[in-house]
Amino acid sequence: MRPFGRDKLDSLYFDYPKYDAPKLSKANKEKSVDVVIVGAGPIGLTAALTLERYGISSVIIDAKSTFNDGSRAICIARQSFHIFDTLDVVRQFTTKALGWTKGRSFYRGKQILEFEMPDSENQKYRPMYNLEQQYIEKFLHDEVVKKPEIDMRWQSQLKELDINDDTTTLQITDPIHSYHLKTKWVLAADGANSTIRKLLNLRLAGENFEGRYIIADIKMKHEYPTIRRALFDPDCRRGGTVLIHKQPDDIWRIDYQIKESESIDSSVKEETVRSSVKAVLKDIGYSGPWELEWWSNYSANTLALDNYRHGPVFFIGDSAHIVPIFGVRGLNNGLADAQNIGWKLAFILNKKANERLLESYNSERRGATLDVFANATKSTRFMTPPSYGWLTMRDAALSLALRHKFAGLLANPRQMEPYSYSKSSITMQDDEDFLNGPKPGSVIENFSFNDKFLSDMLDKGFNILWFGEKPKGYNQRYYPNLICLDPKSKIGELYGASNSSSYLIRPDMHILGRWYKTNLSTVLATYEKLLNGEKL
Amino acid sequence: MTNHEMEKIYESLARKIDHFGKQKSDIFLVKLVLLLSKKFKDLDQILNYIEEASLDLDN
Repeated sequence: MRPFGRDKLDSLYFDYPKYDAPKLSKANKEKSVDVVIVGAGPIGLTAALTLERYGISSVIIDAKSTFNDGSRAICIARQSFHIFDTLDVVRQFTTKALGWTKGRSFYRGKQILEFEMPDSENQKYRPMYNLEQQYIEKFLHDEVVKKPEIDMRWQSQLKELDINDDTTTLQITDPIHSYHLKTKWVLAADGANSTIRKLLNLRLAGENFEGRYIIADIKMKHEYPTIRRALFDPDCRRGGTVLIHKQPDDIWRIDYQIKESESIDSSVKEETVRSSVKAVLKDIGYSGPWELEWWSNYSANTLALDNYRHGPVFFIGDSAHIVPIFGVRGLNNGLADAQNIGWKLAFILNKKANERLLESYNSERRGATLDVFANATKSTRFMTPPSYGWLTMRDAALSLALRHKFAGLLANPRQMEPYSYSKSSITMQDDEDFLNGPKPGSVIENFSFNDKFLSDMLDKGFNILWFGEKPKGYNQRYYPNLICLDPKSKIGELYGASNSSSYLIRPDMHILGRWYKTNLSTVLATYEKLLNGEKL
Repeated sequence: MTNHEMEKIYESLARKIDHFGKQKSDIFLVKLVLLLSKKFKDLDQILNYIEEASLDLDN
């Protein structure tokens, strides 16, 4: 919502472009394509760019004529920056976004916790960045329109979806034509109110939590570093919780809990939002001028589809799962979905892998959602206690935390960490001879060589880390990119490596398997098994 | 005690308090304190903790 007198797209900091409907002839619009992506939000755009990286063409359709009308998701985790890095768009993000590592929690105005997220010189990116969602979409879209393999169609609405044995037909309407588009695969990136989900008669299942929030963006010149602040039981909102985030362009995100006695209808009124924000600003000691940019209401849910795949349709992002905001996992998990299905579909369409590879999409990404649910449920119970018992414990912990550090740790928000695919059907059992180093299923440990990072050395396909002398006659044209490292070096230590240790790494930086003492042919045999759809 | 273990206690107590509700939670919690005191043994320290826990409870 926007203040009275301002249009839905009338932002204080962002100029919304308006995109025309596609100018193609009807015949050209009906040209069949391998992949259709429904939804041009951050997730759909990331999926298209991931496919394009492997030479796969796609059509993206979106019913709107521009980006999201409000900011919504603002926190981007490190692993998402690695995804943007692979898509050659990360520079725009690092230039504009605000990196952060710290959070502070306050109880009745007194600080009870300051947490640091893991960071080191071996990390190319900071643990978290704040950036308004419109910019996230814009930066990705700017790249999408440069790619001839991606056909971006705005103002194009999906009407019907007809799934047959090997072809799926989408009926699409834009201001000029109504047409049929045939495809092999569909990626449903059409968000929380997914049209595809409705057309297929699928439902999200899960829980709704008690907490209801208003999220508001305001513009002000407020001198405070990019540190996430959580205010528990503050003067401005007795019994409630307030979250404050800094964004670029002097925009600040203020999320505050609505009291049980307050109705949504009155809470979303402009004058109520203004007076509530004013009270928050007074609490944090800001008395300068400010402008209201945008607001919305929100309630914490953990909802997901039972299966993220329905025949040729894969659900990615919010169409598949709705998670509470605490812990910033909505956008970041959606981006991981897009990358996961992106590389797998590309391997199938490039005839490099058996279709069975796709079976791992649901188990890996739905597994990630369930893990998010477990963590987010804990954070949500702390942020907005759902019952008398949780409220009593929360208040006791906060009260104790004023003088005892241990109790403050209970207020830790459990920020996003990449999920480990340790239980995936395409992850190997760990080699128990390793004493340390990243385990199969997890994301690689990045490492800084003086001039570059390990992540910069990775090829877009699979990669092999080989500890020891470079094997002779290795043909990188047919096999994964080989990165040879010294087992006695610092990175050798980090990976717990001996001479002839090896790690096999997937295109999304997750570790498929590792061997403490092996030879290259064993590693390559595993790689071939994976592509052939055999059990590892 | 690790943070994880502390969380286990937090969760278990929250569920019990929910179970007994406002009416019986006080009695449940006092019983728990008495059991822990019996185990802890140090009278002065326990009386100190009673004072400590009563801080910051106004308003």
